Amino acid sequence: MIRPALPYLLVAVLAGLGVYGILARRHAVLVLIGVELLLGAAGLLLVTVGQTTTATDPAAATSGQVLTLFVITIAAAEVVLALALILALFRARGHVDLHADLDPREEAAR
Amino acid sequence: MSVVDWPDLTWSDLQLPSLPALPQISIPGLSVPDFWGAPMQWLVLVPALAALAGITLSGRSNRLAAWIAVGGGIVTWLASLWQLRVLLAVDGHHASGSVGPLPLGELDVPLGLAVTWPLALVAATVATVALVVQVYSRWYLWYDPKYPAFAATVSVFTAAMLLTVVADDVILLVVGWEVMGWCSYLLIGHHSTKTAARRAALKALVVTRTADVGFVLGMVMLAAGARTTSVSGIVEHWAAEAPTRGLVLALVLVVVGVAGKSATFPFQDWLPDAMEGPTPASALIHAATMVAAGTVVLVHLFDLLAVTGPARVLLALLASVTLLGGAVMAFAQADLKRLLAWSTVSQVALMLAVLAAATPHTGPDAAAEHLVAHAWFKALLFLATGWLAVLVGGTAMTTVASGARRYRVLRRRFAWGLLALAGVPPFVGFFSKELILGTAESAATGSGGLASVVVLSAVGASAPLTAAYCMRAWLVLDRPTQIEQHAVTYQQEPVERIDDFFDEPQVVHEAEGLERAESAISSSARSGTTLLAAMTLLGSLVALLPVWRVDVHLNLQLLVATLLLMVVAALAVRLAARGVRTRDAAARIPARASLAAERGLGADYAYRLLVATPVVALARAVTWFDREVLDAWVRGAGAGSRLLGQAGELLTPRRATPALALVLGGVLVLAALGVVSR
Amino acid sequence: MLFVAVGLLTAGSGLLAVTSRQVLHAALWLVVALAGLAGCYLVLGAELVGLVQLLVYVGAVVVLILFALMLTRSGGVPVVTGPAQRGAAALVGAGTTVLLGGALLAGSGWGAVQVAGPTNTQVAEGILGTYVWPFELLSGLLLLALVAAVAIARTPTGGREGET
Repeated sequence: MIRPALPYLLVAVLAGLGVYGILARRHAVLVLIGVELLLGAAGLLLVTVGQTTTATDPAAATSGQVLTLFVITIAAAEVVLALALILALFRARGHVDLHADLDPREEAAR
Repeated sequence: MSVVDWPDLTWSDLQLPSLPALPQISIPGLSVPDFWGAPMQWLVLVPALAALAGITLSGRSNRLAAWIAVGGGIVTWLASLWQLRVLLAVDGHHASGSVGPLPLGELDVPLGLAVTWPLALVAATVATVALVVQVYSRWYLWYDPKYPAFAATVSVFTAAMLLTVVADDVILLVVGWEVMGWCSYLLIGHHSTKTAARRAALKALVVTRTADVGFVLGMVMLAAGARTTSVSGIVEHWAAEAPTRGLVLALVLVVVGVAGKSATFPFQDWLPDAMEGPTPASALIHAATMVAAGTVVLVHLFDLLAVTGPARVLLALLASVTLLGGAVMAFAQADLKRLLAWSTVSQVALMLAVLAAATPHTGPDAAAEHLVAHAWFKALLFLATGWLAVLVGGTAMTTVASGARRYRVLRRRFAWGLLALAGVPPFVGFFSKELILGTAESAATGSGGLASVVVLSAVGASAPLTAAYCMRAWLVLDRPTQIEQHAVTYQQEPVERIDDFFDEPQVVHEAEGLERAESAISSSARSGTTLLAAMTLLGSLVALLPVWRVDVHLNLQLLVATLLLMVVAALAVRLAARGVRTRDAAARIPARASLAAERGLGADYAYRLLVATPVVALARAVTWFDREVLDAWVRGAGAGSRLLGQAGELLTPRRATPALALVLGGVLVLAALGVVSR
Repeated sequence: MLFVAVGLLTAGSGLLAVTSRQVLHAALWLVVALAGLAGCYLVLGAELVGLVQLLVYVGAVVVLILFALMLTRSGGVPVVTGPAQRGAAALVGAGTTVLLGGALLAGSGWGAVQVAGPTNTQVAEGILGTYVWPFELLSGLLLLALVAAVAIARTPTGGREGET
């Protein structure tokens, strides 16, 4: 027996933390950490729903876990690409500060 | 009560006996079967194609353009003769199709063509005059770089006029009518570097176009009422019942349109200004085409006009005023070309007047006959004037004085043209005018009513006026040259000098005379004018052909009285001209009056005051409304979105993380809205 | 209860991962948080997902992140934004939490239910049966991501090809 409210609360907290991490950090890799937390919250939500509801259809019954697996896989692919982009950004600019000015021409002029 | 016992004479007594049937002149192997379409289709198609070919093929070559234009003119002319021949064979009425009927729902649009004898003769005249004009303009505009365009425009113009003549469908009528309007703009404005020419072209276009509104509306009403656009169908439908208010309104509108195109009061002022165009264009516009188109259209619709009282009275009043006013104005002009222009105004009004006067009993053919006659002598006069203008360098009365004396080759042409214009027997003008007088008189004594009486009196009064200005022009043209004058002066008392407003410049080339005149013009153009001169005499035979459907009782008393009046008027002019150096009787007119006449009696001012100013004010008001009221919203929307954009630009962070915070915050707000409003 | 303990661990380490001023610490706290999440999965009865989470995230992703941190080492650059930005971020984050939590709790209620998840066999049958096409597509996506990552990371930037 389990109270689904608890995982749901954790989902909400993790999502809030992820959003905060995305917004409050200027280091690109740390922003990525926030994204990971957000994805984790999504996975937890899927698993919770899948485990605490009953469904006769096997496709529906397994969908919670299967979709979480898919999310994890996609997240892995995303992390790989994001890190490659961060590396390229670092090579181009010498830093990975996302709080820098958006306009590269001003950057160049400075 | 008559002193003499006037013989009872009808027009048919004067007419030539019926021509022998012609089919026996069939040459073996040269018979003309009906395999290449109907001649009336050729009449329209050939000049149109010639114009197209002239404008596309000739490029900068005047020579090629002239070949194409004159060739097209010749083929058109042959087609018009063929048309006459066909008409002879099929007994007076020949119909044909054009591009086939248009499928327009309930409206029947056959787009047919048809000719009857009067219209076929008009078509032949138009084709002949157009051919002569083409030949003539080939000489007149030889060094003009815009000659190809001019020749092509003349061809289009001819095609449009011929279409109007042979059309049996109001759509074709309107097409020909409008194309003529545009072509007249191009022809009058040919010397487009001259401000006056541009202004005259614009004026002609705007004035005729204003009147065209009435024309098109009237045609639409006629066609809509009859549910067909075929002219014969329309006539049949409307004539079947008593004239309704719709028919009256439609015909009044058509009469307004006709008045515009034919330069009838109150639209008369564009025509004298149109003298800014090259002389061949003037000859074409004045003689056979544009101004005559109104007559042609009303001949088409005559059976309806004759039973519609108000339209007849309106036309009779407008035409009578124009008839007399034009003749008076012609007398006062200080320029030979403008004199001819006002005489055209007057003569075209004469055609319209007789249409208004005629009853179904007398028939409209007098108008068509006068159209043909007028085409011959007016084209002749214009072309001779153009020739003279080239020789003496202008058309002002003082410049052309003694012109016919000095250049003998022009003498007979001017003399015959003016005699025909005045209506002196045996020239063609005499016969057509007697026909008109007879028609008006028969109608006035018959069932013509008020319109016929008005017209009869106006026609009677116009004869001496016409004779007066013809005499005046002739006296100036035929004034003895200075050498001859000096020879005479030695034996006479000194000439009485009056205040001669039209003083004469010194002309130094008096001795050169004939040789120079003959070398000045190309032989083909010369023979063209010779042909026209011959036709002013031979055209009388045309007037006597048995094809005119006139049943007119000639009043010999009236005829002789008219001739006497003309003689008196001519003698009076002669008397008035004595002692003026240029022999110009109009020099006796006070300077103020003659200046006002030259300016068209302030018609320009009246147009501006009555039409242009209100229209411009209305346009300004609409523009203001559009700009300040309608556009204000649009402009406000633009300014508002620009302000919003600037505000957004100010609010937008220039760094990534705050921007992202805003975006996610927005998403959050949206999600909250979604949750709350569920 | 077990879930409360694991959940508190996850939430606490997640909080540290997004607030720590040390880049490396943040990454390590992420490891703890993801491991805690795997624990949550286990408690919820989804053993397969928990293990995959452990393997993929803790084993591979975090290692990648650590590598990236070391490769992009830039001394002296602040990693945290200013107080105003952080305040705004906290507001948005808290809003997310409240909204999400409120919505979920309102939907689920406070009652307890029996964990009734599918068995691992069923999950495997689901993956290779019902969801086989997305699964195959995912393998393609992974391959594509791999190749693209190599391509992006290798491309010399800061100038056109051949200029540097």
